[in-house]
Amino acid sequence: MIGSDTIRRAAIPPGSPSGGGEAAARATVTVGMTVALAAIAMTFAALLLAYGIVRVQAPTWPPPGELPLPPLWTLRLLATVLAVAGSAAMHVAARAGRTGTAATASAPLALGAAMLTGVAFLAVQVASLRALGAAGVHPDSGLAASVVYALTAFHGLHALVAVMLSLALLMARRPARPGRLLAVVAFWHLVTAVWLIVFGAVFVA
Amino acid sequence: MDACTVSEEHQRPTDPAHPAPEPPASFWRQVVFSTDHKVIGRQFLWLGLVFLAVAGTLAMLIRWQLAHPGAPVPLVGGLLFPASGGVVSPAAYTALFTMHGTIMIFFALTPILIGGFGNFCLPLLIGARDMAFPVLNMLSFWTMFAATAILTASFFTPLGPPAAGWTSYPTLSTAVGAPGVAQTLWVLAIYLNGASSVMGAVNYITTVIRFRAPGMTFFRMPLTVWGLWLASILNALFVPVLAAGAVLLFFDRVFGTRFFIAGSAIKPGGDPVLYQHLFWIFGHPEVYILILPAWGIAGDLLSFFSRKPAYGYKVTVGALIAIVVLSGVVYGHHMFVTGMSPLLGEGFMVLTMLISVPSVILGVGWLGTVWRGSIRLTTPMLFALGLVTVFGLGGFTGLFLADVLADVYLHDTFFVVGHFHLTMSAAVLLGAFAAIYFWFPKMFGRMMNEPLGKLHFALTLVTVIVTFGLQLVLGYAGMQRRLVDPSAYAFLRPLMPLNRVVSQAAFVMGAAQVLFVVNFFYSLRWGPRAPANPWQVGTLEWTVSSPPPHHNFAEIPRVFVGPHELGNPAVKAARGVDFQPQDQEPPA
Amino acid sequence: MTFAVALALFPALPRDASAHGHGIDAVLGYLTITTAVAFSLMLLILLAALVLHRGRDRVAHYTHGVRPRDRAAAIVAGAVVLFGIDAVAVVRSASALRSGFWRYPDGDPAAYRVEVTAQQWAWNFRYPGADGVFNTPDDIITLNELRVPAGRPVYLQLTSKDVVHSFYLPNFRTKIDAIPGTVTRLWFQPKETGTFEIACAQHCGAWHYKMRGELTALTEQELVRWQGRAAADAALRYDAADREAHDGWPWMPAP
Repeated sequence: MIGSDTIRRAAIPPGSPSGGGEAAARATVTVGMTVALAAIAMTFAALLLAYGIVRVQAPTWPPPGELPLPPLWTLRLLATVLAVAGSAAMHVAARAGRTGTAATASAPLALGAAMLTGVAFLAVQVASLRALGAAGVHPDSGLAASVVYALTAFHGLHALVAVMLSLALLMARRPARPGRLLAVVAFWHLVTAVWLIVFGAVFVA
Repeated sequence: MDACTVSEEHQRPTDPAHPAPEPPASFWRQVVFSTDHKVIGRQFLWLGLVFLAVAGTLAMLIRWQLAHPGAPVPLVGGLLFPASGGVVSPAAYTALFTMHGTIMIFFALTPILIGGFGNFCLPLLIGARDMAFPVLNMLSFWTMFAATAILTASFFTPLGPPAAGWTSYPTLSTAVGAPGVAQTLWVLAIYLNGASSVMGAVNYITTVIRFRAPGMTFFRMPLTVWGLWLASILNALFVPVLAAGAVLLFFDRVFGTRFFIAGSAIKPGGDPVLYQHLFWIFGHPEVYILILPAWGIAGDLLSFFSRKPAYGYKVTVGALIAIVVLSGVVYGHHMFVTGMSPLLGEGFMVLTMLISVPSVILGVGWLGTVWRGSIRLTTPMLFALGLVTVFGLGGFTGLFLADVLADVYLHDTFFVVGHFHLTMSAAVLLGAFAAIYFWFPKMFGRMMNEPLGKLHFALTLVTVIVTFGLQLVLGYAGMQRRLVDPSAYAFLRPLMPLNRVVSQAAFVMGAAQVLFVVNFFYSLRWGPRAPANPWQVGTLEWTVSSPPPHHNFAEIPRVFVGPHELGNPAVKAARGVDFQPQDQEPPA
Repeated sequence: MTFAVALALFPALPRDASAHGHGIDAVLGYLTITTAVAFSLMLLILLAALVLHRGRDRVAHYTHGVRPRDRAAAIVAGAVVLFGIDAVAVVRSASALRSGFWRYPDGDPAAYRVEVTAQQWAWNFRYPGADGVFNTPDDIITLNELRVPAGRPVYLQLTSKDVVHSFYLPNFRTKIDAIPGTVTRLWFQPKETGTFEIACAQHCGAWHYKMRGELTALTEQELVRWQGRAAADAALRYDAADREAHDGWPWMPAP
């Protein structure tokens, strides 16, 4: 005999979008973005784990037989400042997007500013790799060099994707739907956060 | 079409102001770049079945060489191996087992169970019109397609196909052991395949969280949905770790970084074993990713065809979740002979052994479901029972490999091959067949042929048990894996007759699949038309026509009961049939 | 059926030439028997259900399996496997490992030391020679031939020149990977004289299947005689200028 509690529990479960509407759409995008960001974060976590393993196993860092890497502080700090600035601009864009369905004047400006900082960040990263090369440090120079090149390049690819997504948002004919804007902003923040961790773990430590 | 809001609008109950959208008209939007989960599911199914056939053929070639080392392959030998006179050369053999494993895991089983049935069934089972992100869904298929194109290209490179094993350990897989572009293409194909899986995972996880019909609580979801959802969580978390390993391997091969290149006196380097860590952190959850949907499907089918509820549904779900959690912390048992510290070894041994407890609970659930049922031995039920049997055998052999002492002897022998073929491939494969026979009516609107299906089952089950069971014996006797010709070792020469028996069973297994192919294509065209609910069960996909309309449900259903309300005497008395559809109010 | 398989498996193990092999074989046997029993039980219940409870004319017994006795069934089954199979195997194995595989004869002066360098596709063995130090002119180097004394611990340190290989001794139930850039270790003790095969157990390229060596366990007298001949041979072959041939390393201390 089916208990009456079965019927009592036939209420609408939380989060069901059967009501439709903007809030529901945003909630769905939030869940999706959280999973996507978690997945991307896991890739970087695994790369950092790899770095951690080889670093712990090495008696010294850089490992014996490898020349120390030029620190390139100016370029690295500049990159960090640009990354944080980009996130700040995206934060402004997100605030503008959240206040309503139609983007206010500040959203495209903020997006544009973020994009420019992103492009500048990429330029700085390219310059830093070229500076390494000029100093005689190449990907095959050793393990420490490999770490710097690989993490810089792989992170840079994601930064490039973030820039391209912002460009797509800017160029869309209609104002950006809040869900999409927030998704790009969240991704951007992840890219910045990863850079900060890489900066701390690889260049400062 | 907007990726997000289309689905939101779809989820509203039908009203004149917002009728359910019509399917797109153009060929490209309807067939090729469709965003309809049912179309995408079928696309994945076709892709997976084609590559299943390819990987199966590679297996037949492997078995030929092991049974008759040095003998030219009959019929196709001259075509496939012209340089060696039709004989499987050592280099060719290493490529065969590499591509067999790679394709089976990444390009056959994943697309069939997760891409194919996951896509087709998930929205229907939870009462949704489509996935949360239909455009992302479409992109995930075409990313998988791009991966298959790259992998296919790797067969035709100047220095030969990838040949470093499906695990692709460095330094064999770096420029040291594998010069040539094929291995690089392999890495790229794996990376894209992983990207496709993660895209799918984002969709499946979000869809289950957000798009369950009103009344469909988590504990009213079919076990199939649980299996797919939990597999997607593992996919989202652990495929990226493989991606990291692939990225570093790619950098080593293409840019000369030294992550996995061993150091030497002249040039400092990294650690080949680092790759093994990254690979198996992914690799162990991967085997659970492959079997979780099959476990879910088995749980549902055993209930449906015993005409009684799944035994201990919540405990089963708890066991599945426990396995998911444990799967992340046991990976070291693949690396016991790399010089691991005793502390780590003992730790991984204990954790791995613990997985046997929830696994046994799953088994108790399956047995309790069929016990005192009214069992109908339809083809899907037979395959579900076969899955349970074969997984039981394979699962128990896992205990040998979890034990460090036994594993030191058995590692890299055919015992491992037998173990993972029984658990992963046979159980998953049998699960895929169960799914196909069960949902074929819903997918294609026609019934498959029962007698042919039963014959297919009988031959497949017996040959699977013989082929892979005897491999356990071969491994116990010490035969290593990946040997072109085992008779190179004196201690293995007495095992050659057993190798021939294994091969003969494998050939029969391969031939038996022709029955399935014939049944599948014949039924597509000339099978009897399927009613909406041929199996007389209560889950939501059977409340709509076969195949479902474009928008799945005219009105989003409201769910009142769980998925396994079968055999309830009150239901039988009130409705005249022994099952309660999920979208109808149960009798008071 | 499974019992027959289990019994049939015992003769399938290669000849046990190791002082510690009985411990390993005992655990293998225990796992075989217990898992065979467990699987047979599962199969029996399944087949009984299919025979007894089949058919449309039967009325299924309606239960969700949530009564206390249902939960008890799950708990009992889990406990039996956990304590009856898992725990026993873990305890016996850990004990055998600690007194065997993991108890390297580091301080033992009787341990017979050899350095192994694996390559595609052969095994190089370096013996320290009369001075007992590796990488000196009196080292004996053999290809694919490992000569050891029976009745004493044999202690190996291994590395690889190129890809990962795995040094596998079926008759001693043991193996360890040989990894480029790293030194791994393995020890065993032959309990009888004889010739046994060395196999490679890690895919290392197309000719992996041909990477076979021979381990000969000799009496002390035979070993001394062989060492004398081999040392004379090594002295003749020694070439100070051939840097690549001097690929030995100072014996690694215990970590």
